[in-house]
Amino acid sequence: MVIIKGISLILWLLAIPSCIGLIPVRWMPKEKRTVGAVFTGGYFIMLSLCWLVTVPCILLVKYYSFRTMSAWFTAVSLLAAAAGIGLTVWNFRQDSRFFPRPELNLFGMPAEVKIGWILFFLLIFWQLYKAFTMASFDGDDAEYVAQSLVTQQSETMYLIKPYTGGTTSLDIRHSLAVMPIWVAFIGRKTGIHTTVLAHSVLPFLLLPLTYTVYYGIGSHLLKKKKEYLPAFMVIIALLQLFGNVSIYTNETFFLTRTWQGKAVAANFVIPATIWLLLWIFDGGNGRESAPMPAGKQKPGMPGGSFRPLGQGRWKDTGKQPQAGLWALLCTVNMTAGVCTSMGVFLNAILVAAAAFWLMVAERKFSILVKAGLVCIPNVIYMALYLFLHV
Amino acid sequence: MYGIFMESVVIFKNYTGGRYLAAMFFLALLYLLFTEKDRRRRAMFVYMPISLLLAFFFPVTRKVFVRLMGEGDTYYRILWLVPMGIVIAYGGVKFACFVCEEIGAWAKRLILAVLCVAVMLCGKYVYASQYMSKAENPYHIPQKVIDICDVIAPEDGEERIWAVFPTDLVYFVRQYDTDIQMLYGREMVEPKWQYAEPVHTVMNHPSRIDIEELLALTRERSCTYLVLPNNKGVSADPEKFGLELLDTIEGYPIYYDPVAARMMEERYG
Repeated sequence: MVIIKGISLILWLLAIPSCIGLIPVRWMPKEKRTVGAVFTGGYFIMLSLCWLVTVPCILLVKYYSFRTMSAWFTAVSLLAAAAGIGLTVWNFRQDSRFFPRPELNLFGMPAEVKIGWILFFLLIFWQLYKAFTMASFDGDDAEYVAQSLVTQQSETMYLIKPYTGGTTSLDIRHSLAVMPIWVAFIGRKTGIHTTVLAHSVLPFLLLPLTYTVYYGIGSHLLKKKKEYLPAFMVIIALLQLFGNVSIYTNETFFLTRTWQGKAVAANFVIPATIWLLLWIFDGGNGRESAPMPAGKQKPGMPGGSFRPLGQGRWKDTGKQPQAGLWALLCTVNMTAGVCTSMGVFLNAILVAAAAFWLMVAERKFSILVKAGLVCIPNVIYMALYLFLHV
Repeated sequence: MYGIFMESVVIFKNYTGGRYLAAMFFLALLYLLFTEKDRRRRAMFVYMPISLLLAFFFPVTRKVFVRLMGEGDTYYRILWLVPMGIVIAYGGVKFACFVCEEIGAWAKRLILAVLCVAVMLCGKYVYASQYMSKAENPYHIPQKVIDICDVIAPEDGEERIWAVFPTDLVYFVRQYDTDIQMLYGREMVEPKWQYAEPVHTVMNHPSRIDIEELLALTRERSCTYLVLPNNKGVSADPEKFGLELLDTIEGYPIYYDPVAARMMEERYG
């Protein structure tokens, strides 16, 4: 039984999201096709799909809506995973070096850098150990965690009060933030009690996911000084451990309410938005590249566009495929809504503020337009929220 | 407007907890302001955080927020958008990098070590929080709640039951078993929400629970199980009113009320 639960967990928390994350890779710059990007991207797409399946079920299915949602989301997830695998096979057939070589090589790095990484992984291990062995009291769990359990046990969504068990009309305020439903879905697929799942299992997913995002930010910011990356990560990990200066900080939420939607929004979605904005706008600088495998890179191939300089040298025109990154940013905005209704509002502010200053920096009004376009899911979400409230 | 601004100042102070991590952030921000040459990174890690902070303190933002969200309690979440951690880490590493080039590798190591120690000293260790405790089980809820729930929970296929729990246990019951319904839940026991619920009012009496009054209310609402607090007296022996003591777990007496069950049977068949 334990083995089956373990395999189901690996399938639904690792394998399927990873396969789904392969979908947009073809439309991302080659150097950004990393394991971390695939894995985190997979979560953003999967959670967005979860929203698209769950909300209609909540609003339109009267009886046993969770059963319907569960069946549809299983089918959609499997189809998306199959699409990811199919696309990757196709990409490999066109270019055997479709993915870049992994950069993190623990054996070939200087001792100082190695020590930094070991320290960082010890800090992560400590946080995971504590997440399993320490319990944090938070009143909101009486709603979030109980909501998942109610869904799992009653097969309805947002029709039963999590606090008491009394029936209610549809809980509009929370029903668009479907994170507890996703937890209930994973609980159903794995056969694990949702409270155990939330408190003892999900931290092992959400903590590494968050650090993957910070790794992405750090490795981008320090791409010319990679030896400083472990120091960056150690400081980030220490800030999480010692960021409990009040009950309000995102760091406090990260380690004491890891499984709650608002904690995921604050620590996964918001940093991921910054990560993607960095990737999109702080990307190709038209640098001269190393000699290109001339002749191997067919026009229109995934991996970027290069202009020949002669003598076997190529210039990176900076016009690498970016559509995948924009699509991911769009799904990050949707994931914000999966986590919490306020997340939609907050992420829109973040994208707007960043886009404004990037527009000033680049003197390109189009940045603001593009940022506006990726916020369309936020606008739809807010409109639906207001419509259901009236 | 000035009053709203001062409210935001208080929220910011509460958020930063009066610790020096905020000072570290401002130092890092200042350092990046003067040293970051890449205009896109300045946009992301200098101008954007500054503008978000200014927006946070700007009274109109708070007014709009309260209007949209219907509450001001969560206004602090605007501060989540300010990438304080990234700015501290990036500013710190950039400074260490500069020191390394100007002085040497030993100075870089020293700076990074000082930075790590400063984070530890200026912050507050999360696992020392009063809200953290050793997990008693994989559910991460008190074991006594699980033991009590196991006594009263209906078997598979049986009807859900109604129960009353002491204030300190209500948070956890339905995280373990949603077949147990409660006459009042977390929404009634949170002092900040100030809701009034008659059964909770009786159960929450500071020293003594009036059993007669309690049963009048619980029987009316078909509540068949009562878990009484372990630190309060009762006005009379509950068994005199027909209650059956099922068990006592960590001082919490668990009663079954056959009278309520009978009344329910008569009412609903």
